[in-house]
Amino acid sequence: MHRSLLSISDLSDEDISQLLELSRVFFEVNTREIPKVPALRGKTVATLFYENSTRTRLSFELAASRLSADVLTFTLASSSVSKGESLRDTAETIESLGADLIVMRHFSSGSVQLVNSWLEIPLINAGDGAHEHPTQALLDAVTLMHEFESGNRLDGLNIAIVGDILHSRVARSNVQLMTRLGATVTLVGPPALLPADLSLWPVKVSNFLDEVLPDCDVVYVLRIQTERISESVMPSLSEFSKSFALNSARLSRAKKDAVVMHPGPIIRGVEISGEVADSSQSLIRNQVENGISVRMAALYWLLGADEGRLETLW
Amino acid sequence: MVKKGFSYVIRGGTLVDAIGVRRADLLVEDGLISASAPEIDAPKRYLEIDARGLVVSPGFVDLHTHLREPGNERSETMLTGGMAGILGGYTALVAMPNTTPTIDSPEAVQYAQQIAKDAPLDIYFAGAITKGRLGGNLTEMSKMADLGIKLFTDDGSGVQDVQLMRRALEFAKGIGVTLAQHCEDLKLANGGLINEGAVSSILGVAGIPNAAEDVMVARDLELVRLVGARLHFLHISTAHSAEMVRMAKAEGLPVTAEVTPHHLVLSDSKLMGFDSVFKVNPPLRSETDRLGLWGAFRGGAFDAVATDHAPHHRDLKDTTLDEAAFGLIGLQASFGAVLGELYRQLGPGQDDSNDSPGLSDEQLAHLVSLFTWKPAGIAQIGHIHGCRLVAGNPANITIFDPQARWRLGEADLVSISKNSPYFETDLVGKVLYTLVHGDLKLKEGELCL
Repeated sequence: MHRSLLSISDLSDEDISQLLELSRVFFEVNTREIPKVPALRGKTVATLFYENSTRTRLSFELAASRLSADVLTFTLASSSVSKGESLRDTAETIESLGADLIVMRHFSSGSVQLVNSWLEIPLINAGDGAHEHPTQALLDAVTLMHEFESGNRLDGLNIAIVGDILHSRVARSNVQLMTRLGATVTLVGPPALLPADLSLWPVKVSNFLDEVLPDCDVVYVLRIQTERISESVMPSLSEFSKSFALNSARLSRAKKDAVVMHPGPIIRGVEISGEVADSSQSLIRNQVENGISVRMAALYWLLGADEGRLETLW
Repeated sequence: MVKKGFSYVIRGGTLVDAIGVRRADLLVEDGLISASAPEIDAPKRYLEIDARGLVVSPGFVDLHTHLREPGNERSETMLTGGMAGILGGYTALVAMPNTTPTIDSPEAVQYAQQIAKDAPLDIYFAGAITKGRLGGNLTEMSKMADLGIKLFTDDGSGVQDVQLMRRALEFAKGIGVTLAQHCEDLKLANGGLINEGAVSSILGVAGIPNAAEDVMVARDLELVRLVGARLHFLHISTAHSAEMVRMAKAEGLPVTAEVTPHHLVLSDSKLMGFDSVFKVNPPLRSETDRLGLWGAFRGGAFDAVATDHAPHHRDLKDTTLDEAAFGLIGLQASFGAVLGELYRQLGPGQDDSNDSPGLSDEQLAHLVSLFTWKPAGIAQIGHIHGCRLVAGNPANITIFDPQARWRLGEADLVSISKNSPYFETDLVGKVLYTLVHGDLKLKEGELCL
């Protein structure tokens, strides 16, 4: 099978090291006056998003253009999907158009793995249902490594991931990567928003954020989707906020230099207060910025590295 | 080429039926068994079937088959499903009513029965409990009963409305038919795709909790206690439901239950690769539940192994897990899958025995009963199928090699749909001959229609 970036679970330790190293290289490229290199000139990167996304798609498209790749954008509204075309036919059409790589997001868990089994070209999973979102986990790890100057490790960090774990691909990818890199992860949320059986996960679990906070180096806040309220998972958004929103008062219970992360988009006043999101402890904008380097690394890892294009970076 | 009207002598086999396990030859002519004795000296006009080392059993009866005809003939037809049945050792299938149109009226019954006349085995139909299987209004069960329908079910979903289910049981009791329930509380299932548990948690896939089945089994047991009507539980998938059924039977409630080969052989770990062929309802459960079902199997909780053969065209399976249809096919491999698993549970040492089956006579008779006379009794066709192998009874007979180990390949499937979960499963027990009303439909493992 050809190489793709589908999930943290199928990356080897060596793969992870390569991606982290490449991210550093491209972080440097992004600090240049003209942050663009010819590394993937002549390559075509297609983005195939079956779910609305702003930051992830823009981040991938910007990453591709900074590597001088051409970008094909597939948007649902104007596509044949609205005419009933199957996922397989759509994916095979994009491959036939000559795309060298597809960045794909889909609302169904496992969908990207399935498409990967049909195609010859590499795929990057930009989020499949509630399953995985590996580049988000990589950019989060890079952000923490910068912040804590911890090299390629996250040893000793206590990280709480808070909110709707059940529906979160960000949580699933991050739990695996953070723990593999040495961090201790605690999942925090109401019972209805935690997966049914966490016995195989290398994590601690709590329903009480206030009890977990005092040990936290990192508070990773997830978005709460308003549709969960209509499913009666919680009586109201404010009931959720009362126990799980990260506000200044709550954050003050964490370690003094604790940092705050969020994969975006943030809903101010629901899962995180504006003061916390904008505070000096917030790494939210660093995450977005690092996302470009990490996605350049991922694209280059799949399309450039085998062809000795590294010299094209300078 | 074997044609209608031939007479057969089946020599040297081990007979297994409701009488027990014994060595005997059989004579078959004019659609009936004409003699059964330890040694039969048959005239030359009888074609000989050499059954030495083989088991001769009543033809298998599947209580739970989806044949897709009428309405969805691109997935399966009565002919192709019937051929799959013959290869699996079946002489009778009970077809579920979730076709297009739904089998929910006397007219629909007659239409389906007309098509079934050309099938290579006997096809019986279950009727729907509610019109269109929508859970709103009861069907005209007594008119359908007059046409021979003895089993009624909304399979595909359960009757959600508890008062309607009470009324359905009361009506069924009054006309002497049996209801069969697909136990799934749809509110608790909540659109889930696979078993809710460790696997669904890792994959981020919506789960169906055991409780979705258990609450309806518990509810319906109370209704049976209230009404006193017969009720058959379809495809029990959780250990707890099986235990509830076992206790209810011990108490004397008139309930029966079936288990599928796939719930006995496979567990939800098969879904770790998101392969939608393993998406089925009720879902493949945890390994703990699977082993619990075997405990219930040995403890007598089940009255039938039923396939829930559910063909789906490739287009409906070759897609994402949320979009893919529920269901898998099982007619051809059901017996081999269950016997293979039974051998695995007996452990090593049983594998190398030569002539005698690795199972005790008691175990063999129990297994055969769940494929033959017990399901025939539930379907009220015990006078035609699953009969004792003695003179005068219809010659619906299956002969299998209890030692043969085999694998099922996609090319072996005669169903139009290829969604079998058993391509990687070691199967034991190969059906070699199937006789339907005295006609040889399967000879040395090859169809002869």
